[in-house]
Amino acid sequence: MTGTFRTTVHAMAMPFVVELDEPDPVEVEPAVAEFHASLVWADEVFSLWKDDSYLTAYLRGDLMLDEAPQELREVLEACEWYREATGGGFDARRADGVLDPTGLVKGWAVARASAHLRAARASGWMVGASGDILVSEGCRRRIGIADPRVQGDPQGTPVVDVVELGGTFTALATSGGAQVVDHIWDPVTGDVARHYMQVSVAGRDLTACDAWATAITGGGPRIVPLALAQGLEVLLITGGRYDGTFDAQTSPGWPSVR
Amino acid sequence: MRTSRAVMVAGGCAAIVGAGWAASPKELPTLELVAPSTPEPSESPSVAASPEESPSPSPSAVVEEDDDHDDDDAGDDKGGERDDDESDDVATPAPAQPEPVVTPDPVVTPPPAEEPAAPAAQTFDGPVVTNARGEFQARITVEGGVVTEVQAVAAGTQDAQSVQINANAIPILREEMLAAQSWDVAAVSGASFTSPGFIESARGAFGKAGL
Repeated sequence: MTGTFRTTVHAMAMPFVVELDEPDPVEVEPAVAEFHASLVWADEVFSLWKDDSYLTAYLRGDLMLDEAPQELREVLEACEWYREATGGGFDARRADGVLDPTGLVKGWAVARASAHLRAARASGWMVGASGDILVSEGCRRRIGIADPRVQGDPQGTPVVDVVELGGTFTALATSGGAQVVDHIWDPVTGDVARHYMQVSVAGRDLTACDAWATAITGGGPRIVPLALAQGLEVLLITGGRYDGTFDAQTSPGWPSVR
Repeated sequence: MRTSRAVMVAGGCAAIVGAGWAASPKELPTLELVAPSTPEPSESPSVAASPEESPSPSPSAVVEEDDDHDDDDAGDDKGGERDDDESDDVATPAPAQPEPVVTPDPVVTPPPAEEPAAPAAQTFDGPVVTNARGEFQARITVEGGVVTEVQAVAAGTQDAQSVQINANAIPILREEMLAAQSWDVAAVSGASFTSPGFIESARGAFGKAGL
């Protein structure tokens, strides 16, 4: 198949845009179906909004950790690992004691599911996971950073910055903004985090980008040097101005192509 | 006799100190600054040219030049102040970034093709701001009304601690001003959003529930 195969699948109540450049015409549909199935499976294991998910059952105490799929232990251990790595900026333990790995699950599930896209034998692919972007090695795409005031799908709206993925960086995650207000908490104070309007992190691993973006949104400026030490690049939108522009800070290597 | 012994002791001390110095050369991070320019904004065809042309001076040379600006400290330089604040916020400074502030980077690439005429890049120097932590002066590069680069002309004092703190703090983050504009992009990265179908479904459910 020449050209680009584009489709959108829905899982975890979020749209996932998949783009495959020049895929195998026979393999492309099954590959996307496998990708979709992997995301749906992750939702069934990790959803806090479903009473019958493994995570909910584990938190209720109905299930031992070794009775659940090993991925549950893997993700909970990853949460603990990121809590240490981010100096407490990313903390899955909510103030009310519930373990909430939601901040990590989407990036982790997409990174895991994207392995199925290889079966399509495309020259390059991109996954737009409801605001987080993952591209294959060498698949150069220009990605916009959403205006933090935009609600809903930012596709097609004016953007505040443009970066190119596919070279040094293949993953981009953004946290904060206007989408779901006040869903990230500061692990130190326990209050709603309002350090930055929006935080974008570019790197090579979507799980790490997602976790660090959440960590910086929750933990504030204290976490930024730790992220930079990991080789990640950040764009922090610190505030809005009356004329509609934004004050922002970028790390020196931020891959902007404005 | 006594003189020769004194010479030997002094020589021994000097040898020990010298050996110690050679064994542990203390490398302080140095902050590369751009050279202060003439007061009028300099027209340059390419933004990247200005940092390259200026020979990167050693911190001591820069501070000597900055002494000229000692008097005009009245202005309020946002950029310098921000950088200073950032150094306070950063509790644990990251290891010195490999890329210093002055290196030309992807931000200063030529404007995208949609724009008809390439606007000339202009650099403006802010006033020198002096506070307890030394002198700060920022230089911004404006390209077609958009700030494309912020550099430090002077930051802190010659004091070793100040140089170290600023060398760590200032390259970490660069102030930018962003405006929402229309670009041709493949996708947009933003915070997570729920799919419209789910919202429709929820709306339908609320409607059924009579809410």
